[in-house]
Amino acid sequence: MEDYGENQALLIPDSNERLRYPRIQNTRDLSDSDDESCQSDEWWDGTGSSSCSSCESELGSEADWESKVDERGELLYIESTFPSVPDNVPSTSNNINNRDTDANAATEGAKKTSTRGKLVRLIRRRSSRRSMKRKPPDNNDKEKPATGTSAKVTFRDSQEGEVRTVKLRVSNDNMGRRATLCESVLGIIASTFTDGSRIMVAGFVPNSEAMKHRSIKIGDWLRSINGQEVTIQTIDSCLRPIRPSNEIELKLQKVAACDITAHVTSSFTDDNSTSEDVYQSDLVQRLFRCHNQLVSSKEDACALSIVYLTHEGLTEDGPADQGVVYCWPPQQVNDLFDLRGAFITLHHLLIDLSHSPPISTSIVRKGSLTHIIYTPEESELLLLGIPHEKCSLPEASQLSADIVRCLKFKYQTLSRCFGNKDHRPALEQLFSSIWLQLDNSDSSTCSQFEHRFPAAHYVSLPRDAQIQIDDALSEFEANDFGSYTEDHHGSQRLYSIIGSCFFYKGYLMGSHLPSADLVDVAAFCRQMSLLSLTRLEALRSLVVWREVYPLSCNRGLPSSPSTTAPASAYHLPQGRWFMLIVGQGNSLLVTLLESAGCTIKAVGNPGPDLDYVQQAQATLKHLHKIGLPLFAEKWISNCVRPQVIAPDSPTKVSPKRSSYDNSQPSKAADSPPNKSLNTSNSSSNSKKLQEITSILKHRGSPNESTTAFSSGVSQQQQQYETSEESSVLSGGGGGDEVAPVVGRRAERERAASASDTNSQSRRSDDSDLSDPDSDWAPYMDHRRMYGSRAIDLVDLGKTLLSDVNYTLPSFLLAGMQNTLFHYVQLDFTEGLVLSPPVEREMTSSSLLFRQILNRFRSCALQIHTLLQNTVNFKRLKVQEIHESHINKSLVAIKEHGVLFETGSLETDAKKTPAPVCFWVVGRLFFAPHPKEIYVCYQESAPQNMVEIAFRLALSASG
Amino acid sequence: MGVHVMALTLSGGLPLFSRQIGNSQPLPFSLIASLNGVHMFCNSQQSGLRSTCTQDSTVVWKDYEDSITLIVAASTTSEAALSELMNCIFNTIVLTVGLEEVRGLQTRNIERLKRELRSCFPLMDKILDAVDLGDRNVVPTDFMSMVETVICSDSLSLKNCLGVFAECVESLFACLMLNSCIVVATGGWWELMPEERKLLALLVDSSSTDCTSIDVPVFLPCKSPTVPFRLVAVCLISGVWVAALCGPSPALSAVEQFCAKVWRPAIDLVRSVQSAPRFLPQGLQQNHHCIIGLLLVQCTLQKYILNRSQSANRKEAGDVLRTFYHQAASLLVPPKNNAASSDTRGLETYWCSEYHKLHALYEKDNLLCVLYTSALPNSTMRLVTRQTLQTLLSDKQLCW
Repeated sequence: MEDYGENQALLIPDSNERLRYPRIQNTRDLSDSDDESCQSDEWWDGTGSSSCSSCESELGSEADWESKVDERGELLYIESTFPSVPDNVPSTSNNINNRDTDANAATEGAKKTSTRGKLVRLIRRRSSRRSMKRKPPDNNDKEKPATGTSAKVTFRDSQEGEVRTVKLRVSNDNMGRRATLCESVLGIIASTFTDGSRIMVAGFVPNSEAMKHRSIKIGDWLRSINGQEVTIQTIDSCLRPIRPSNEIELKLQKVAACDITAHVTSSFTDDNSTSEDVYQSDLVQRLFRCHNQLVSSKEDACALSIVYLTHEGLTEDGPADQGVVYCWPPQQVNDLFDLRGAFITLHHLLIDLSHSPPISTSIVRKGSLTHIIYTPEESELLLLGIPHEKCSLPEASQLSADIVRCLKFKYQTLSRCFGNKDHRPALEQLFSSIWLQLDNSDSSTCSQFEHRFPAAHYVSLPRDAQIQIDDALSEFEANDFGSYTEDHHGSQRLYSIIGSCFFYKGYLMGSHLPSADLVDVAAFCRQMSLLSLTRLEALRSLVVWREVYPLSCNRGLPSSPSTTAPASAYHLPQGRWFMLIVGQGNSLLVTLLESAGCTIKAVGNPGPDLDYVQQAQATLKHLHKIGLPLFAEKWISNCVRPQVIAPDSPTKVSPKRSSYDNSQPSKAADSPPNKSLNTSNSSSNSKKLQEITSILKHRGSPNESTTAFSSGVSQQQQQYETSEESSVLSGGGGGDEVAPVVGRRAERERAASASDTNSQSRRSDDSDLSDPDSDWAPYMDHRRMYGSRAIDLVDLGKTLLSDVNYTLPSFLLAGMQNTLFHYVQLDFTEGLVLSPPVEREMTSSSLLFRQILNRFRSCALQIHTLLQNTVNFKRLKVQEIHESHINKSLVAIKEHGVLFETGSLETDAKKTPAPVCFWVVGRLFFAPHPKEIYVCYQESAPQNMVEIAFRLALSASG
Repeated sequence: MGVHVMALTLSGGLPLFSRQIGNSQPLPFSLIASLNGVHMFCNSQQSGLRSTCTQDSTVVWKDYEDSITLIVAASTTSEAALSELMNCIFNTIVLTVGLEEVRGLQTRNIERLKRELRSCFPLMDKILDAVDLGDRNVVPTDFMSMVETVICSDSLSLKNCLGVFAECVESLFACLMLNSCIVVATGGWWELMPEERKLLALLVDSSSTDCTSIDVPVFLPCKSPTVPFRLVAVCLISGVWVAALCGPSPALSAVEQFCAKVWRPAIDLVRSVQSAPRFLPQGLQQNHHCIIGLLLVQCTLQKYILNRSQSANRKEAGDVLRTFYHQAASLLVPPKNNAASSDTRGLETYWCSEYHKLHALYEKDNLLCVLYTSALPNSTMRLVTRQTLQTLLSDKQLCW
């Protein structure tokens, strides 16, 4: 019956809800907040709701995502912005400008962690096993005779929310034997709150009267029918006497802070046709839906093929698909399926022949060259076929390695990944989205050089912005939010945090992850198209949760005896690991959680924990509040450190440097133009800082630890102030003085101290806190903290932004003119790629520029392959050197450069501009760890790659 | 593992021959059969198996004329080089037995073909030596498709002598060779395809071990794959041969007489060829001590000179230059067939290694690769290369 209801509910378009959502706000918020703050909040607590491919049901608000957790505890929830909602960037800037707004938003953030979080947990239904255990199944409950009393009903009477009286015509639909009375009579799918007796509106029967009634909302508490108070136990007896087509009076109390819309969808695979409640843009839908129909309709076009084979237990007379564990696309259209025998044979043969397993095979299939990449795993073999026109051979093996890395990260081993039939839909979705990405590219016209490496594209913000990110991440990672909800207070923590990292528009801005994990995470986000998605679109909300197997923890496999050398005293904990990604706007915050050692042992398939998600969201929100996205946006679009130019017209390769006689690029930021601007700024800053410091001191006094903390802060501040007064800070240092104050740690500690003291008087100070419910105490104080801090946050945002505008470009190259077109630094030890943002390529329409970049990428790939010889050789042990077949002339190369000339082949001399000569140079640095640098610049002054590397490293450090 | 070349009939998988160089055992027959079997299986599935790479070796399959399958397994990662090698091997087969014989493989007697092919094994071994493996065991550095030339002081008089000789034997195609390097050649000889020129030079070199004159039928793989010519070569002095492609007449004894008549007056010139130093031209060497060796390639004619400074170890310099040419410098030369496709073209390229630096400059169909000492700054390196190229091209004595 419930399933029936759920399936029906899928079909209901819920446009009403969408239109309504902007005015649905917490009543408390409405008193003192304006629209800006609402909008900023809508990122997470908006009410759009719906079904996406991996969801079961959803209950609005935070429950949007919570109800979409599937039975394996995995979650992929994406909600796009409405096209009508103003862009992310303006709303952020509004936040920065309006302190009150920030204060309110902050309050709400705090509140959210309290009531809404709790509420959501109350109404969470099938979201996770943990919550299932917590309450008995609904159906059984409803069938039970009314034995309970309504003693508990008044328990949360004090909770906010208007009480509404609704008149409803009773339907006479016969909904079948399994429907409860409540469903057949009222058209309401009932559920309970956590106390197990109060009735919550969990959904509507399709086309029922109740559904059309605008005053009845999901999440409401059904208090009484015809004046008679009801609980889940008594509702049946109350409804039984009611005859069809009578009118009854329902009394509902709004409990949620905002509207909650339920949409109950059935299951993962068959909901493609359901209505869209969570607004997802076309791009999101394209990327994250199942593409079965796509594959079958475009079977010729889809030339990416994947086969996973086992060569154990094969017999002569087995079935045709013997040994094939997994096959995508289906075997009828899979090129590799018929040929798999050849690859298995080759795999065995070549080990005999050359003592190393094959890496790739090229075949000509249907007239087109296809590369097949081998990935062996014990007795099994993964084959990945990619047509040459999409990917050249080296690129194909990079892509394959990236996919395998992603799969291992998700499923531990390939055999677990492909062996389990439950993973099939997710795999299909993954592969089709990879194919979609590939299909748009073309290896002949657009090489992907720097985007194919197992590393994250890092954009280094200035030092103070980096500090902000690091600070926010560290604080989140401190995992010190046990005091937020009393459930967790004093209890063992659920997870410890291995690390987290922050992406903006697909660029890594800060990472606290071990480099191996960072690479994994980057591979995951890249292959799941999350990076390209956030680059192209601002999201309202994104929550991803799944169990993962980080490489830093040896993928959860027992370490082999060779790796457990006696020297390593540290043993990796045998535990489980989870990844949490939350996104807002163009930002992503990725966190790796560990359930081992001191934490509660994870059992079953735990879904995302609300507290962790909310904390992650709050961290992201904090970063938004200090204006980081806006700042990063400007920083990315400027791309001045180091500055690259586009050869739009070769003559315009401008005398950018001629105005400065400062020959030291790294000091360019200290140049005079900055000074006058900053002095005014900094004087006002210092004034405010003094205020803040005094506030902090004053407030911090009741608690010992807080005092210590804040005094430490003030000391630091004074230092900064003095330095500021004595000497004019450089442009880069403008935001530094605020750095020690901020960080959510400050608030947290204060919040904790406040909740400990629990002083009644403080609470009563707050005029807008009407009920002295104990739940609210910590958060009110918290709110004040946010409020006071909003001052420096706003300043921070301003300073950061002004920094961007007045940042002087830094130059990598020597010479009077900057002629740098492009640069790439590969650092696989750190898992980082440094290169200019890709945005400029998209915006630049210059054909010449595209030609040069394409030539750079294809040539850089050749250079990389060549330099790889040196890297491989240096890794060889002495006795292996004699056995290896490596060409001895190639083993010591450290630099390779090629000079190119454009456009000189055209005969039409009048139209074509003068040919541009440009160098593509790659250099390998072996110590302290291997690092490769590639630059592309117009030929002018002779350059030294070592100098360029130094300058690049300097500018990358902020 | 060196290089292994296997030839099998396409239809039946019967082995025709198998050659190898490098310090490794011959491949067992079962392995060869399996490699061929995989290829046949793929053919039956309408898919052409092209190549398979491992960490440091490559296997390449290729069918020729629907009758012969060549399989090459080598310890190099360059598929292009192996593909070139296979073309070269197939051309050798055609040179020896003719295209008709290869095409009609199903109907002919395979044992006879095997016997005929045995005669070109020395030539194939020479070709295998030219594969760039970087193992520095092969003494003369050779290039697969390019023919080496020798710079001598008085090439004009030698050319005149050669012209007279060619008239005597009624041939357009004649040349004077020093150990498979061309000293001078007639215009017709330069109009042969580069790979034919290379094969003929290698053929003379490989069959000249214990005789003073050669007279063998050859099919020209490109110009005349079905009608054989006569390759007549006579040894003038040790290491110096004069060769000509001619028709049924004159007979070898007549050719030897012509030789004596034409070349006896110029014997001193020929002796000077024999002792021609393969060092850098005097002027260059005095000016630039940083040059260890150089390789100058004429890309259309596919001829090259490989020189080194007197102090340098020729073997090593040659090997490094050869690897540099294959891995980097040859990429500057636009591919012949699709010149219009590329919108950018390469002009220069360089390597910096721990031990030396290499720089290549491509200009007007000439490609100059120079090996320098590692202390030289990059900008100076470019300057010296440019000057060197100009010197070499403008030197009247060199007759490049």
